[in-house]
Amino acid sequence: MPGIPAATLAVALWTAGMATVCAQVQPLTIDLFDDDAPALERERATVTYETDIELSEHYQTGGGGLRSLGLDATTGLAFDPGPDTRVNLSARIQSARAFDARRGGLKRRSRLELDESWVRHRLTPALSLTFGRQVIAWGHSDFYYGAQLTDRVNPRDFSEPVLIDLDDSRLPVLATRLQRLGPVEWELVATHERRFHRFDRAGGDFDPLLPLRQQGLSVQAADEGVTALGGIFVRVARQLGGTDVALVASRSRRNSPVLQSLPGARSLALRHPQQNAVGFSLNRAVGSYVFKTEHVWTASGVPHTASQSRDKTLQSMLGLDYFGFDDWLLVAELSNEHRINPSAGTAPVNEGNLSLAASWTPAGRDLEFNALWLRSFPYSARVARLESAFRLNDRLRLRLGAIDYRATDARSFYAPFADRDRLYMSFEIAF
Amino acid sequence: MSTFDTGKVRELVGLTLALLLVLIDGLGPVKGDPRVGDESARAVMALFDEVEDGDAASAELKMLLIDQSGNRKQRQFGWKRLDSGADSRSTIVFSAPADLSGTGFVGWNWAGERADDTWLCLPALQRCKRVANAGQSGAFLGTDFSFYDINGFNLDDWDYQFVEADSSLDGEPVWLIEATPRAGRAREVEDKTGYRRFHAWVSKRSHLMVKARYWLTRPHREKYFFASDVRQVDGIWTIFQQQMLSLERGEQVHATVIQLGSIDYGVTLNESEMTTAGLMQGW
Repeated sequence: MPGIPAATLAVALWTAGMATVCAQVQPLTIDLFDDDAPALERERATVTYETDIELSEHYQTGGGGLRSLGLDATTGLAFDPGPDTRVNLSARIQSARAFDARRGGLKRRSRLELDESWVRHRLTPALSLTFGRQVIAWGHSDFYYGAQLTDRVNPRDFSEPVLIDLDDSRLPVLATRLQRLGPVEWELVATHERRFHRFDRAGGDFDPLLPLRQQGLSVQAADEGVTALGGIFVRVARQLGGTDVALVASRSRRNSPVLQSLPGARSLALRHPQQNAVGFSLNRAVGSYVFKTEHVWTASGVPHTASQSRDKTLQSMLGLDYFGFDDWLLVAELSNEHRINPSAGTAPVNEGNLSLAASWTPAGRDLEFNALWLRSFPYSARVARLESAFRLNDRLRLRLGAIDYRATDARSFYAPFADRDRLYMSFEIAF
Repeated sequence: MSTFDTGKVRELVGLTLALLLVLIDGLGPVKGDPRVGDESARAVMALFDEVEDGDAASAELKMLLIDQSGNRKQRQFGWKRLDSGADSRSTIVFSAPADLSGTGFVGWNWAGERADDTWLCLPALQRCKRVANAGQSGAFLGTDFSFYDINGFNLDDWDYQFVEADSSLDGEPVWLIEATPRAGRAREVEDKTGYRRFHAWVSKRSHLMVKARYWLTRPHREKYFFASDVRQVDGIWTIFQQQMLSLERGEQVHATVIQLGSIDYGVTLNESEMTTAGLMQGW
């Protein structure tokens, strides 16, 4: 076209084209608040209900399989009787029915327990007191295997190792908690309950003492129950220029048991000696990474000796969370327990785990994939878990997964579970 | 939600970081009706960039995500913000859907170069977890906002010129301004922001950006921002609905709508409740 410079024509055409596109793009006509009026006031009472219905099958061949159907339901009520008081009541029912072709027959087990149930009162805007069964999570670790570091108050549920994640595994304990908010946060916790790590029932699929029981040894359980003072825990935390720093000290019973031989009989007893601990934790975000570390020094009584010597341990964790890729989250942790047992006269021992987890959530989809891999040392063992979850709607989620245990060293905690691989499927309902 | 529902953690992190940023700045209101002395394009954008927000606010909001197939996901949450000088602290607590109810975020937004601090809190599990802010140009998972859209905007990254100094949008007088990467820094700015250029419609009445169009470095991709239902609350101009639409070859592929139900600028907040421990206590 003579007379019109090509560049001008191009700009004119581009502008016309863009104007057309621009004219087509209009804001959506949506009113998200047309159904109900929003309220600034916090609701005075809320009722929650969560249920997992889980179907699982052990697929390891040899001796038949195990099919089980389980129900895990938690219901809760939270309400505020006054402006400075909050009450939380929660109960949990776990029930499972299993057909075990290896051991024959139908097995049932059920458990009903008081979950997190407490009353909290705000003494001043910065000071509050909480009494009741509660969970107090202080640590930065995302994995529970091996050492219990600065996250010391609650025992853990090991009844299905690696299948139960850390946050679901903390067992609430009866405690009084005094908490002061501010630039420096203080917490003082006194527990009033002897409650220790939970393992699978005697003879169960994940009973870690199964090899001993199969040798004809009987094992006496530890005494649990309410007590005036089970333990004292103190934490001081502060945010220092982008770093979370916390110091922790405690005096309590050890949550993991020590086996004590009983004289004159083929029997053992589970003992939980007194343990003093002091430690610290740090974490910091740098770009797409969060670095985290925890270190705790403990000294425990040794119940199976007459001497006053004590087991000493240095427990450490170094971890990294990576948020760099869109749709991906990666977590890596290395934990180690350096144990000195002067009463046994043996060389110091190092035990630990390398744990890796990755998740992928495709953008815009109600779908997620999780992978978890654990390797124990020095007693060679590894556990791998793959899981996917689909959110069917706002209240219903379907979870499918598989877990595989491998342990070649009989001293490994995971050795008794080497044939306990399973496929599982669960519906999670919440409202 | 267990720890290794990490997919959900990732989704929440993305979703809520975006929300924290949108709410910190996107609902940043302009007080009164200051006169514009210098109507150069850069001065107008400086007005937008340096909008004054209230010292404290508490609000109820809903957010809607719409995918290419028209599937919708809705979230409801409460938001609080407390300013301390040039710094601010925010909290977000989800109230719906049921499986997210109680989940919260705490964000400390620092002036200057210091990186913001963000924590994900799960009161049902009594657990807070520090999370990292990802790169500025990437879209946060599930939303159409990027970190740069809201929080990373730097006036000096761009050169500005009026496309129309006296335009109107739905009857409202606006400046229409084009921003292109600063001369000599095009590659750096494109890498940082993910945008080749953008157009901004800035209201002459409220000085808020009421519409924007972004050309992405990703081929054939554009985004449109719309602010609607802009009104004064306690004398403060406030956007009640924001939308960001993502388009590929002119077709909408995703959309995010954030709507304010109510807001209280007179709320009394203290710093101790804008912490992880404060959020976990739930007062």
